[in-house]
Amino acid sequence: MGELGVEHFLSLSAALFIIGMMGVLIRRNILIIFMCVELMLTAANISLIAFGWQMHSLDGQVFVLFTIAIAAAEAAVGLAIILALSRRVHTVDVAEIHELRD
Amino acid sequence: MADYLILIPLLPLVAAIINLLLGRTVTRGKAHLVSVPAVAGSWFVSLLVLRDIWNTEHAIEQKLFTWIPSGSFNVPVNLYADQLTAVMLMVVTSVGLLVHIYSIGYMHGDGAYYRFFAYLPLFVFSMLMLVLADNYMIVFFFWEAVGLCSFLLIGYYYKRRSAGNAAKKAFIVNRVGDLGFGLGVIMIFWTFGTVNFWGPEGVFARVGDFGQTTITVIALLLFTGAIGKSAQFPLHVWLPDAMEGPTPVSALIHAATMVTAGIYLVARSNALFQASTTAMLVVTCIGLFTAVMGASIAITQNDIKRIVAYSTVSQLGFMAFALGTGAWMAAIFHLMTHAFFKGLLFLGCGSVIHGMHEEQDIQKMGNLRKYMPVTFLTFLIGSLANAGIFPLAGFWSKDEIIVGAWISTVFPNFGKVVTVLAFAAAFMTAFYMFRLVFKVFFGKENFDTEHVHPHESPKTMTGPLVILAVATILIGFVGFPPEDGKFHHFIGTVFESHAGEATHAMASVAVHNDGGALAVMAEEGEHGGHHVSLAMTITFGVISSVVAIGGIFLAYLYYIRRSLSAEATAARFNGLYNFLYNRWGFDTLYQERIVAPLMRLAYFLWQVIDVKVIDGTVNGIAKGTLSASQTLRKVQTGVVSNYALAIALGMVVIIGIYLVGFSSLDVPFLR
Repeated sequence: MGELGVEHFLSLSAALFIIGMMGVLIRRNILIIFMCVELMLTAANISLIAFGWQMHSLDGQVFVLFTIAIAAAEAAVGLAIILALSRRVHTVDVAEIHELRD
Repeated sequence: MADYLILIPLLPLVAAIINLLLGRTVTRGKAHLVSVPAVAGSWFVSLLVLRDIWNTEHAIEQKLFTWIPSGSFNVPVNLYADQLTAVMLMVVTSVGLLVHIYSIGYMHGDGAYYRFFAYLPLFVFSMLMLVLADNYMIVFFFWEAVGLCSFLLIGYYYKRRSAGNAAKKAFIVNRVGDLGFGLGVIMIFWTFGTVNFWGPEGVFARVGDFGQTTITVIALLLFTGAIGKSAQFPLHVWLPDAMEGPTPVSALIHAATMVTAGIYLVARSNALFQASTTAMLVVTCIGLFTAVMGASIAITQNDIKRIVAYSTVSQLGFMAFALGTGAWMAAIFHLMTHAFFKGLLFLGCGSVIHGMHEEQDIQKMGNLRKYMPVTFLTFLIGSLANAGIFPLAGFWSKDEIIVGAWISTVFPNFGKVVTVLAFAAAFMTAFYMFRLVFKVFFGKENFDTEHVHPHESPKTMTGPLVILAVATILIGFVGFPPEDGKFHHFIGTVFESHAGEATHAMASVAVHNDGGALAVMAEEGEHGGHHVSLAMTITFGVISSVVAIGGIFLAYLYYIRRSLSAEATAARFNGLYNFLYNRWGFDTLYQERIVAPLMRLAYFLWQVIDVKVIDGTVNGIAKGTLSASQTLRKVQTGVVSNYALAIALGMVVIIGIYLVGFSSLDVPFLR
């Protein structure tokens, strides 16, 4: 293990992404799932930063700024949906929300 | 000058449309006030047409419009009235008018009065267009139209099952003949390149340009149509059943006019038939067989209308073999006289049935002359005319047919056989007619006099009977003296003009036409040289009178003096009696050999082909789709995690393919 390289950042990013994905797939609480989605977004941001750092380019950071802005908007919409849903069905358990099936 | 020709068919058409559209709401029980004047108007215009043609001796034409302009296939709708048409117009409108008037009384109080008075003028319209048409396509069109009207009117009492069946039978049996006629029209267009009758490019002018075989085929196909419509063997079975319709309909359509359409068609196409001896032979044989068969069946029947119906079949047979032996004028003459006396007989039957409260079995009648004197007298006149007693209408025309067969130049030897058999048929005709008369109007009452009170019919019914009876007495004289009467001079030109044009004109049409026609024929060098002498006319007149009186006398012995017992004779010739009573077994034969197998085939097609194969396939596809989707819909759990898993797995697979397939790419951390 020598110099800090882009591989380390990407490994972190991959680890975060997989943790997030596993959270989305396994957890049943819709809020946790939502947070895991945010985690996956963050993993992507780290990759962008890492590549930008390696290439000596600002493009990666600009991308990340955009992503964060959009993630904020997405969080607002997502939370609003979750709020509306929990009010309607009185639960945050996704296994119990299957009205579309029937 | 000829612009009024259109009025003849137009008036009944307008009446029919008015009654069809407004019958239910406006005209209702007064529907006859629309129809009767319309038909009367068309009768009057027909009279004018007759006068004009009589005076000018020229055909009248009126061009209307072109129905089908399609390349070389051109079907104009033109009205054309020559001498033959004029005779047909008079027959159709006269009998039509009288039947309309008669129906006012007969159909009184019927629930669908307006419907009757809509169909009846519709029929008159179709029939008039049929005889006015100047090409085969229009003839065919209205040929079908009269068939339709016949169907509607036979099935007029559609709530009665037997009426519905009879209507279907008439329609389907006629289809067989119409198929032949349709093929004939196609064949005519194929051969001649036109369907028009007249003009230098018309069919009749160019018969000689084509081979004998072609012309024979065309003539036979046309005659197939005539067999169906004119109830000739083997398609005669529909006509007696057609008596399920109201009696005025039987009189107008199934005795006087529509059934003569076949005779008219053959007479109109005489140029084609004259060019083919084979076709003429077929026409003769079928006509003769029908004449004998119809008369023999009529002897044993008990239903009053059925007897007269078989009589019609027999008389149509007479007309057909007259055409076949080349006695064209005699055939048309008989067509005309028959229309009047058979119309009279049918209306008389209607009056009897009406007076007897819907009883049709002659075994349950008797001595009706006491109750219905007018009906009796007129019916007697009709019967005498049908039997061929001097000097009534039937005598002149039937005699001429028989003489025509005897001197036929088409079949010099066969004609003699025809004559003998025709006498046999004439004998049977006289017998069955007077069996009917004696059973119905003489003897003792064979009905319950306590409960049944026969009564004379109203004036609207007896009026037409009297008019028709007078016509029956007088109409024969237009053909007097025999072979040389006004009628013959008038209509003769129709059959002469084409004789010279047919290359195979083996016989002059005007075989027994002397006077003016002779000169024409001599010029053409086609004259067969036959000439009816006065002696021959008188001889045949005497023979046929003796035959007719003999038939009547035999009926007298059986049913009035009872010196011969009908029951004993029937028992003695049991086999023959049953054979005749069962109408030569034709109905049974057709039922067993044609209808039943077709029903079985239809049942098979329905139960196996349609239900199992076609429906099975369609329903099978639907069922397969349904069960497949029932299985597949389980994939859609509705649980978000499952979808997310599917997305993730899909992504893994895609990336996996990407990495394996594009491994040459420089991916740093996989190095």
